[in-house]
Amino acid sequence: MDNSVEAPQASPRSVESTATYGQSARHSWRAIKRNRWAYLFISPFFILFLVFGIFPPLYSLFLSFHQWDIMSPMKSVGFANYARVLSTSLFWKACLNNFIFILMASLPGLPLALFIAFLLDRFISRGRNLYLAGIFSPVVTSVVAVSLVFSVLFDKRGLVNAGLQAVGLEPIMWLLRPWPMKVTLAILLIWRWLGWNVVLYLAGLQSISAELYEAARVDGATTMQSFMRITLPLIRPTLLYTAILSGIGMLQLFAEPFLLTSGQGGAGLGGRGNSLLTMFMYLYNSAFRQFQFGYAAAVSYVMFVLILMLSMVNLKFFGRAADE
Amino acid sequence: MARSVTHYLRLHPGTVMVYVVLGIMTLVIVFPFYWLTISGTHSLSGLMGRFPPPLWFGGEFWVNLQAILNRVPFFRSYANSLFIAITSTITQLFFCSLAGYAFAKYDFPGRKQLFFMLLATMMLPAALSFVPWYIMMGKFGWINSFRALIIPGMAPAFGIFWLRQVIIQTVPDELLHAARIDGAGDFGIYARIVLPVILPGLGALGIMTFMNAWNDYIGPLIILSDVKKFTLPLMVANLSGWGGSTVHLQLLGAALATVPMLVVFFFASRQFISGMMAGALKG
Amino acid sequence: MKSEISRRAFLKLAVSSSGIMALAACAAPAAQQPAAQEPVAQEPAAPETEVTTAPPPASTEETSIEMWVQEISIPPQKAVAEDWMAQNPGYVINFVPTNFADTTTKLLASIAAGSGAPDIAFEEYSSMMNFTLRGGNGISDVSPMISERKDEWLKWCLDLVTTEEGKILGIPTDIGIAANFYSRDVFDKAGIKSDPESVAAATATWDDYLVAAEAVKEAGDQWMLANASELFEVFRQQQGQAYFDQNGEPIVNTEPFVNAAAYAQDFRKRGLDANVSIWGNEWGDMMVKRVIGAYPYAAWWDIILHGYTPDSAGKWGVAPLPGGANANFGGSYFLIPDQSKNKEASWSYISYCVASLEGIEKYLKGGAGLWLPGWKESYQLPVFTDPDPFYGDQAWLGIFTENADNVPTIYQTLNDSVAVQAVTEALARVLDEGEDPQKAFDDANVAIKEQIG
Repeated sequence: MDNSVEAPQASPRSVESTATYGQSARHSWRAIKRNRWAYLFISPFFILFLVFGIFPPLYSLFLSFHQWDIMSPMKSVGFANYARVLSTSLFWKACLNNFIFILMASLPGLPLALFIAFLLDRFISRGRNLYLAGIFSPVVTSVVAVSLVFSVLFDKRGLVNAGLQAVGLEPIMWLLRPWPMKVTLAILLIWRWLGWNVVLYLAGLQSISAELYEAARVDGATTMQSFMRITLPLIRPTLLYTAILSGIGMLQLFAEPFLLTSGQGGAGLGGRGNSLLTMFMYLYNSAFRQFQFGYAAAVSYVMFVLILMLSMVNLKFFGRAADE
Repeated sequence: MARSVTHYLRLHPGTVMVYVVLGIMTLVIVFPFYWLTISGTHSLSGLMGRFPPPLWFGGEFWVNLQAILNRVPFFRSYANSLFIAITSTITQLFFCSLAGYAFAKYDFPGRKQLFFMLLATMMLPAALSFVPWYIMMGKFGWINSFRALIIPGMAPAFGIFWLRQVIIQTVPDELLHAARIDGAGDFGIYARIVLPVILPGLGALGIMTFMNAWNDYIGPLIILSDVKKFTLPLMVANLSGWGGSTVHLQLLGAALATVPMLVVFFFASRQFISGMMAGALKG
Repeated sequence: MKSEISRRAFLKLAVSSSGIMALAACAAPAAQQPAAQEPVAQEPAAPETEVTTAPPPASTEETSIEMWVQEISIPPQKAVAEDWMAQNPGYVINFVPTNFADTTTKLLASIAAGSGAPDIAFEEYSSMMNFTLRGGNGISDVSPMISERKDEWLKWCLDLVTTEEGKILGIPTDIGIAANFYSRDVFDKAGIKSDPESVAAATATWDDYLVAAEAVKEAGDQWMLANASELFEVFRQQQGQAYFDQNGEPIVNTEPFVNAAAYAQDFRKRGLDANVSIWGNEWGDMMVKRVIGAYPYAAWWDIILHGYTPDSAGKWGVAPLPGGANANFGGSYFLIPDQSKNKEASWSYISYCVASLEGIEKYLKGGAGLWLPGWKESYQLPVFTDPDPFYGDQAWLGIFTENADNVPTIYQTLNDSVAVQAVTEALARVLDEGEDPQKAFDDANVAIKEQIG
């Protein structure tokens, strides 16, 4: 047991000790026995995963090759569901929307968060927690409340339009016209997740030593330069992490657009022009409105592949940069 | 961490500007909560029937509250949400810290592989399990039951990943060594040495967990059908319609569900945020 | 269209927006009293629960009958249930309030899982379609129970829930025959006499309707309709137009649809509707201010009017739809899942509630407003002929019964919900973006084809 506590985790430091363990089966067995508590400690996760985690995705895979509406007997249809997903323009519309939200929410949202984190880190010493608490508060609020407030603020006669009118601009039908709807959702998403990303970045920034900045300053670097040359490169792992998380989040978007548009005609399909329809909403609609459970399962696997691909691209893009 | 900020403390005009700009931004960010708070105190026509909409409190708080209580068992949903959130938080903190500790400080055979598996499960999008999960809950007889909302999520991969991070960064091996030499058992070390040290991290994760459970919408949406079992978000969403537009009631319901949590969060935010950062990846 | 109507209660937030006529559905709380005097119930001679007169042989323990039902219809059912329980000691009706959305899904899931279904469920008719068109596995056939009495119900109403093999899956509670609920003030202001006969005359045809709408608009700050799209579904049904032909091909680009859309578009272009989203905040505000002339909805609209404008007694009236249109906007049914452990008692309760004069009267009067039962025998109740002060002493509910037998049966398919979504979208483009109706509905037709694979 004693050495069990020594090895930190799978960082380079632990490579050595891990290596020693791999030596022989006899050793391993003893190591397993010695670490029986560790297995016990991690077992809840794996038991729950075995019971609740493994079956659903596998069953989805199975379902995706069948036609099933619960009431009628299941019918095997080969790849027909997949073919249908791929040839339905409404699905691609939804998919495109997901990517549009990456462009409209993640793309501006993450740099904004980084910039705010940078400002907080470099310039705000007093009252930083006050700022952070304010910025973070949307994260801890329920999506129902958030969507409700936004739908009223962005109502045709809501406060936002009152503001526009006050400065002499035309009111906008925020929730009834395709692009304004997208803008509203993007604002909601940026607002909602800004604090989360700021805190993650701030944690990353604080591990950058102040001496680096000091040295740069002595060399005559501007704030902008030190941001570009010191902050950005050093914070790349965090950037990667948040970019992946944010991308995955955007591809799985459901509750916000669902709630924002649920009061409208064509309920469940993203409102006017399907402009807030996402893949997950399309899936939900196929399964729980149209009872095409096999088809919905195929949609979920197509989504899965897209998410994997996005993660790979992210890894490649930021990962390589991080290695340099 | 011990950054020298001294020269910034002299009120550099640039710094002042940053304070002001960030201050305005923060106010804009919290504005929707302010507006949520005041909006539920107006009558429907006081809210939607006039333009521009109100910016200050109205006098209809009690009337609206009474209307909500006549319509739905609102406080019951408060209790439901509290129950689910507290139970989830306690079980998750316990199981996640155990596993996080094991992954952080034990070097057992298969650790890398198992940890990789755990991370891999985080990659499975929820959408993939959506339909079968629902059917499964049906088979278990857990539809319309809180169990479906608590038990499957008792040991989430994210929490384990995150607490492992916290333990690696905050629990020195020497401490564990010493305890071991003193003859402490595995669970004893966890309970008496590790837990107290990671308390801030636990607090942060606990708040996140609590808030997630408190705010969860999709899970209850597909699981709960009995209004008496509704959680707050479902109840707020459900507070509408029949025989009268009720957006003002919904707003009040949302405010009652949200504002107390925000106040609690505000007071705990310092600890929360530093705890959050302890578990975050460092550059 | 439906989804507009159903946008249901959950304003912007609709939890689940199940989309179709939730409102309609909900509206009618089904009455339930077990028919003490009911012959009906006897048929499957329930040994213990003797539906009929006799209290079921007193079991000493209480048997609980679980019913999933929309919250809105619980209060009016309570009184009915109390009566029934008094007559059937040993039984307790346990109402499980559900939200509108997703009760169908949950019922389906419990059928799939083989457990968890209630003894009685309450479903709106568009959800019933999901069971009916799939053969009704897991749902009890009530046809043996009503075989002798089938004529007491509106035929089309039972047809809607009859499967290919002749199983009848549910008993109608309320039905959704539509008429024009109109605001007397709006018509007065427009210089049109506002008694029901005059309004009916002024809106006798669709052309008359336009003329009347112009007059309403001329008077200023008021509109005939909240949204021109409300006419569309009426128009479609008047023409008996289905979404699909018998081969399963979508036909939403045919004349009836395009004409209906063109009419609505014309209505919009002339500025005759308020152009607010139905159930939206602004809509609610207009509802309260009573600046909309007409609401073409079913009898359950009474509940909505009482809810929004409780203090407007005497300000409303009801007239037939223009052109003698007869449209059906939803309605609900009681059904008994196969899993029900107390089928006889459940049936006893249901039949008392919606198929006995005593029960249904109590049910009708116990709610926030009236609605139209599918059980024709009830039309002899005084409530159909009593003047109602809320409607200026008009005996309005009777209007809905006049044509009740002649609702067109429109061919339905499982893909209708896909079509409804596509048509809603096409109509929105026609109305809001001024798109050519033919083009918009051609596009919709293509989109439907793709989606149904």
